[in-house]
Parts: sequence; C-alpha cells; structure tokens
Amino acid sequence: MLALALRRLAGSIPVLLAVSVVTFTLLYIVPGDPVTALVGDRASPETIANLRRELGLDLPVHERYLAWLKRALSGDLGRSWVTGRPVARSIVARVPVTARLALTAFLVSSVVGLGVGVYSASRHGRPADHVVRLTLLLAGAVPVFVAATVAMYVFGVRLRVLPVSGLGDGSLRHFILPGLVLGVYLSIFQARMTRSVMLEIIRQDYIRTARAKGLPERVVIWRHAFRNALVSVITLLGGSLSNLLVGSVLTETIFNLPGIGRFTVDAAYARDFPAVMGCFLFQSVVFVLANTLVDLGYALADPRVRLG
Amino acid sequence: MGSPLLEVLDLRAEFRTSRGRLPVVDGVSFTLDTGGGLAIVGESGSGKTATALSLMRLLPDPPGRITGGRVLLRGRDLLALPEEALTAVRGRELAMVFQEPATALNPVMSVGEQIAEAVVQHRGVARRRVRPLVLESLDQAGVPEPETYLGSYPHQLSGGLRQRVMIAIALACGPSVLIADEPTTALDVTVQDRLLDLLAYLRHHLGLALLLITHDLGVVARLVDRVAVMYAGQIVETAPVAVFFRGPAHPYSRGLLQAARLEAVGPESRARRGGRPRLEVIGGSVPDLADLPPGCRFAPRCRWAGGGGPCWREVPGLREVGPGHLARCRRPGVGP
Amino acid sequence: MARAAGLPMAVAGALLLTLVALAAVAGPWLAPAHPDELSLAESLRPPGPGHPFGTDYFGRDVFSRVLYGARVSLAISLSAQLIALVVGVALGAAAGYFGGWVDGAVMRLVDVVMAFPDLLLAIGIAASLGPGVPSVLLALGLVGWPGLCRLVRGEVLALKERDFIDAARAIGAGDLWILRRHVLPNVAAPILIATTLGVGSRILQEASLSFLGLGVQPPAASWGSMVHHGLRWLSRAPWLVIFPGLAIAVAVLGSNLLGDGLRDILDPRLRD
Repeated sequence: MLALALRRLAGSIPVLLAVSVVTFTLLYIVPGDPVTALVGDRASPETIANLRRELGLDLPVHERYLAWLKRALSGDLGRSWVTGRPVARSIVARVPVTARLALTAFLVSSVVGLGVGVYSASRHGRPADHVVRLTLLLAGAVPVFVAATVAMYVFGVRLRVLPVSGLGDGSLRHFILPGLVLGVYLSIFQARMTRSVMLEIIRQDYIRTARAKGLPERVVIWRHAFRNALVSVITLLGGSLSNLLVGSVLTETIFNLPGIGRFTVDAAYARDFPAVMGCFLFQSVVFVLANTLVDLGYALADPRVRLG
Repeated sequence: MGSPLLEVLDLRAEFRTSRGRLPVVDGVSFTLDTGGGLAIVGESGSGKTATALSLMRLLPDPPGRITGGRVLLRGRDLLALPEEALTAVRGRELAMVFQEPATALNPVMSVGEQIAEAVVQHRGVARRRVRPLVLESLDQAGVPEPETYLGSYPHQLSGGLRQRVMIAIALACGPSVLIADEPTTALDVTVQDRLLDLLAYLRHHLGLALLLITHDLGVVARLVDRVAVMYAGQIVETAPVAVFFRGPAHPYSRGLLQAARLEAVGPESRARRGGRPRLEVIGGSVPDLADLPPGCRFAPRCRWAGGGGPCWREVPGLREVGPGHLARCRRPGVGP
Repeated sequence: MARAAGLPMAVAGALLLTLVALAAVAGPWLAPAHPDELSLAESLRPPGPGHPFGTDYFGRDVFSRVLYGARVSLAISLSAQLIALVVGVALGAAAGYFGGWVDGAVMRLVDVVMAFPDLLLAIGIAASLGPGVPSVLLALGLVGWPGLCRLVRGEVLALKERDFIDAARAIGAGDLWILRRHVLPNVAAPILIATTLGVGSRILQEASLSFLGLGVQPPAASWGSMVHHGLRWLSRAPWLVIFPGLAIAVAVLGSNLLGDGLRDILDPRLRD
C-alpha cells in the first residue's frame, strides 16, 4: 500500500520538474531582461550591471535555472516587485481563503453533482432524465464568471441576503455565495460524468444479479452501481480539479476574495514576475500532486487494483 | 397433484429496436411443479434467456418489454405485481444463476457481503447474525472451507468457485425455483461436470424446482425431467426427457439431437470450437426476428417443408403428438 | 436513442452558430450605432427602444458592441482552434504513425502541457508576453492542442493495425502519402467532432481571459472584456453583464450542441 503510494509520488517527479522548467522559461526567459522592467530605461549602465549581477542574470541559463530551483525548493520564491514582500509568505497567507472556497465548492459539487448524476441515470430515458440532461446542457454553456455575476446581482444587490464582495470579518457567510456558485459550476461537469459512468454500470451483469436477489432499486443503485461508479468517478475528479482551480481564479476575482487565484491575476496584471511565477509554480505543483492523490484514491477504491 | 408451482401462460416480450419490434418471446407457456425440472433448449437468439429474464421481470428495458401473458407463482401473477412487490419474490421465491460468473458478481464487494445482503433483505436477520447463514449457503453450494472465502473479492476466485458463489447467493434465502441460465457454459469441462452434479444434488435434496436454460442437450438428461425446445421466440416442442430422447417429433429437435450425438462422438473437436455445438446437420441459420417467414418459422431450414406448401403459408400450432408430448409441426408423420 | 437525438441537436447547434456568425459578419450593417460612439448624455440607459440592450457608462450602444464583440470573440477562438488543430493533428499523427521515440517525445510534451490547469497556463503566457491578442492566441492554441493530439494518436494507432495500410505500404507508398491519403481521411470524423467542441472551449477560455483583463485590450472589446468592464456598474446596470454573458452562452451552447450532435451521428462506436 505504502509502496504503491511512494511509487505514484515518485512518478510525478518528472512532471513536477517539467512544470518548473516551463515556469522558469515562461517567466524568466521569454519576457527578456527583467532589469529594465525593474528600474526603467533611464537607469545608469552601472546600476543595471549591478542589478544584473545581484539577480544572477550574468550567469548562463542552466545555472540560473538550477539556482532558482534550489531556492524555490527551500521555499524562497523571491520578492514581489510591487510590494517588496516575499512571494512565498504572500502565498501562504492566501492559502486558507482559497482552501476554504475550494472545500465549500467541492462539498457542494460532490453532493449535487453526484446526486444529480445518479438520479438522472436511474431514470434513464424517462422525462426526469431528459429534464436533467437539458438543464446540464444549458448550464454548461454559461461561463462561471457570468453565473457568478448574476448570482451576485440577485442575492447581493437585489435580495441583499448575502455579502457580495470581499472577506469582511472572514466568517463563513462570505464563502456561501462564491462557494455555491463554484460548487454548482463544478456539479455540471460531475453530474454529466457521473451519469454516463452510471449508465454504463447499470448495464452490467452484476446489477442484474443484484436485482435478481430482490434488493430494492434504491439499494441496487446506491450500494451496487454507485460503489462501482465511484471508482471511475474518482478518476474523473482529476478533470474536476482543473475546473476547481480555474473556477476559483475566476470566482475569487469576482467576489474579491483575497485568495491565490486573485493574487495570480493581480500579479499577472501588474506583470509582477516573481509573484506570478510563484503562484504559477505553487498552483501547478498542487494540481500535479492532487492528481497523484486522485490516482491513489482510485487504486484504493478498487479491490482489483488494491489486492492485485 | 394440485396446481403447479409456476405456471407460465402465453408469455410475450419484445425488443424495441430501430428495426422494429422484435418478438423475442412469442406466446411461451409451460408449467413447473414443486421439485420439478424443466430445460428450455435452443440456439442463441431463440429467446430462451429472454424468457427466463421475463419471468423475473429482469428483461432490460429499454429495449425489452413484456407485452402479454401471465406468470403465476402459486397462483399469483408476477406480471401484475407493482415493482416494489417484486423484491419479495426475486431471490426469495425465484432465484437465478447467470451464465457469466466473471461479470455477474459485483467486483467491489466481498463474497460474504454479496451473500449476506440477500439474507438480510429477505430473512430479516440482523447483520451481525447473518454469518452462519452465509456459511451455510456457501457450504450447500459446495464451496470448501467457506470461512476462507468470506472476505474474498470475485477477481480472486476461479471461474468454478465464482459460479458456486452465485449458486450460494441463489440458495441463501431458500427459494422454491432456481432458474439457471447456461450455468456451466463459461466454465472448463471438468468444472462443468462437478457443477452439474451439484445442481442435480440440490434439486433432489432441497426439493428445488429447476428451470434450466441451455443450448446443450448433453446436460439436459442429468438434471431435468421435461424438455422444451425454443425456436425464434416460440416453443416448438415439449416432452418428457425420456420420450424426447427416444423420438423427438419436430424436425428442428431432431436436428438438435443429431448434432448433440455427433458432439458426443467427437468431444475433442468440441473443445476446439470453444464448447459451442454445431448445427451443421441443419442447414441455414436462425431467422431474423424482424423479418419472419409468414408460415412456420422453421420452414426455410426444414427438409420436409418442401417448396411453397402449407408450411410456408400457415403458422402451425402446438399439437399433442403423444402423452405430454406437444410439437409445433403439421407434418403428417408427426404424432398419432 | 443517442443517434435519434443527434440530428436535431446538430441542427440546433448549427442554427445558433449561424446566428453568431451572422452577427460577426453582418454586424456593421445590423448595428444601430458605431460600437465606440460615445454619448455621455445617454449613459447607463436600460434596454428599451433605440437601445435594445441598453447603453454603457459612456453611452455606447450595448447591442452594437455585442454584435462587434462577436467578431472579436469568434475571430480569436477560431484562429486559436486552428492553431490547436494544426499542431495537434500533425504531432498526434506523427506520434501514432511513427511510434518509438517520436511518440515518446510527443506524449511527454502532452503530459507537461496537461500538467497545468488550462486557464493558469494562459494567465502565465499573458503575463509573460503582456496581455493582448497575440498572447491570447498563443495561450489558447497551446492549451488546445494536447487533447486533439491524444485523440489523433489513438485513432492512428488503431488504424495502423488495419490491413489497408499494410497494403498501401506493400505497393510502395511513402509515409507522408499514406498519412495523407489513408490515415487522415479515416480520422476526419473524430477530428471534426473534437474541433467543433474545441471552438466552444476556446470561446469560453477567451472570454475568461478577457474577463480577467488579461485578454483583448481596449478599445477592442470581446464579450469577456465587456463583462469585465460591466462588473463595475453591476448594481446600476446589470444589462452590461447579462447581454454579453448571454452571447457567450449562445455561442458555447451552439458549438457544444453541434459537436455532441455530430458525435452521435458520426461516431460508429456510439451507435446502438
């Protein structure tokens, strides 16, 4: 079991390295010389030369990369060009906000997405199934930021029942609307996936066996079909993770929540390279590791994989 | 003797497909007494499995749908029951064993769980009291050292053991009818033999009525006392086993029996073909249900139908040709 | 079942896309006003006669801006999908057909690109090159090709096992000839389906980037950037968000419907 976990983790190391190379290339090589961006065009050649040495820009590319990687591994992501504060510390300060948003959304989508998917599959071909499919189709075309804006207008501006912007006192109330919006957005994807996985499973012989035993349909669906579907649904969570990260960037921006997504966008807007690079690296690493965990969860859920 | 345990009257079911409605079960009738044994024999596509599934109301819908007839269990029509009431019949009164033990067991549930849930469902036993009953049914199904298998998952078992687990599930609630749909087809020849012995034993010692669905006439005589031959959704002949093997009346039955005898002569060639019998003694193939001949459904393959005679125009009914012996054939040589 | 639903879905999708394309092409003739025409006296008018979608803070006609936005959004999404298509099909076909180290290299590259959440990669590129149309095109092209690449590789791998490829090789046909004449026509259907669905994804991604302020820059306006700018006036003028948002939804719905419909019609594996 542990061996399997370690093997999967080890397997993600090359991808993580590749992610770091892409990040480095994208944000330190492509944009050209950051020194001019830092001090402007009119700095004296001497100042520029000094700064270049200080930033290590006089070194060859691979040495710069290794030095950067070494520092990144020790938790040093450099200082923001805008605020001058260490990027790593800014990221750590924002993790709780994003984590809380993501967790709320994930809980909502697990209940709504899986529930709707299973329900729709269990009514396959009946009117309820058609209604669900049509709703998912329509809802899937609405961008999350439009849905979020409309929700904000309805609940915050018109009905005034929920806070619409910012963190306020940090209470959970401020996460309800963003969490719901993001959660429902994720549900669309999950419901669709769950439905198609369930339809495939309901056709299997062992479902017929379960019915032949005289189990009530509810038990057949949830104990037999859903438990099998879960194995596949866990793998599909990988796709959901990308949606979750992307969705939280957009949701944080709209609801003005000081999370990592918002930080990334602000930094990208200001072209604050160390900050963008830090966020970029951090989120990609989280994404890759989370996908590895999903793989592992899949292995755990299926006795055929678990027991060999 | 009283009324039969299970009485099937004019059962009809169809598959709704893009090519129209296919009559997969077309007016099937038979009876099964307590402790009795009946085999429904036919090629694949003859409607024998659809018949079995219809009895349990397990025909996949869509595309399948039961369109008529009655299935009387102790006089109660199962086709008229509401869906919820079926749970008290399935597993409890009618149990079923399927062809493919590899796919018929839930891959993510342990063997013990899969048997236990049937017991909990039907016998109202508390979960923690269920263990002895589970062990008992595994034992009845001939699983050696049942304790060792309670926590196993299906993929860890051999094909023969899986099928015994399926049988244990079926036996767990003491049903009165066991429907076995090609129970040994997917298994090795040696394992087949032992499972057939087990089924024969269960029938005689538990007083279980057995409805055997098979394409293999070779197993019929060992397990049941009546045979019904199905062709293109209809029963074309039904007779006591002894009578049937001595002299089948329907030309199709004769072909089947002849094919089975050839099998018996050359068992090694059978293994080479993956255990499927060959019906080369009857030329042609099963008719397309979407495009049935207007008269006798077997006419296109029948040596006696001739060209354009009444066999091609009129649908023959089942006629009594001997005591307890019915055949769907108008040939003058058939019958008394 | 699925097949029967395919045709009406595809037709509905095609109709919606035609509507969007019409807006993009005929926008200048349909628009009641120039999209950049300021009229501060008409600031933040609600929808009504004269301004069917209302006006924005500068008094610009939202209906006209949505029509012109169709141009920007469609042009960018289609071009980005074209980039993704060319790169994805070329690399996927090469990987599947040649196998070996080519396959290994291409698939590692796919893994790396797919290791990033798509919008994040696009944000990184926009930050790196500076926001604007070129970086949007590059970003969306980059996140779009790996899916197509995997698809084409898989199809080509399956095709390679078939006899007619061997037959072509036996009569001395070259690799490029075989790829062009025998392999690609046989994978045309899945590519068409994936491309149609891909356009929808590109529209969404362009809108997201522009919404974040990292896509199309003023004075040009795509639907996404209209929502971005409209957000400031949400409590007073929700129509600034609703109409461009609706336009995005219609375009995405159109390509999803067409793509799903085509899949039901064309993909033989889904029949029956």
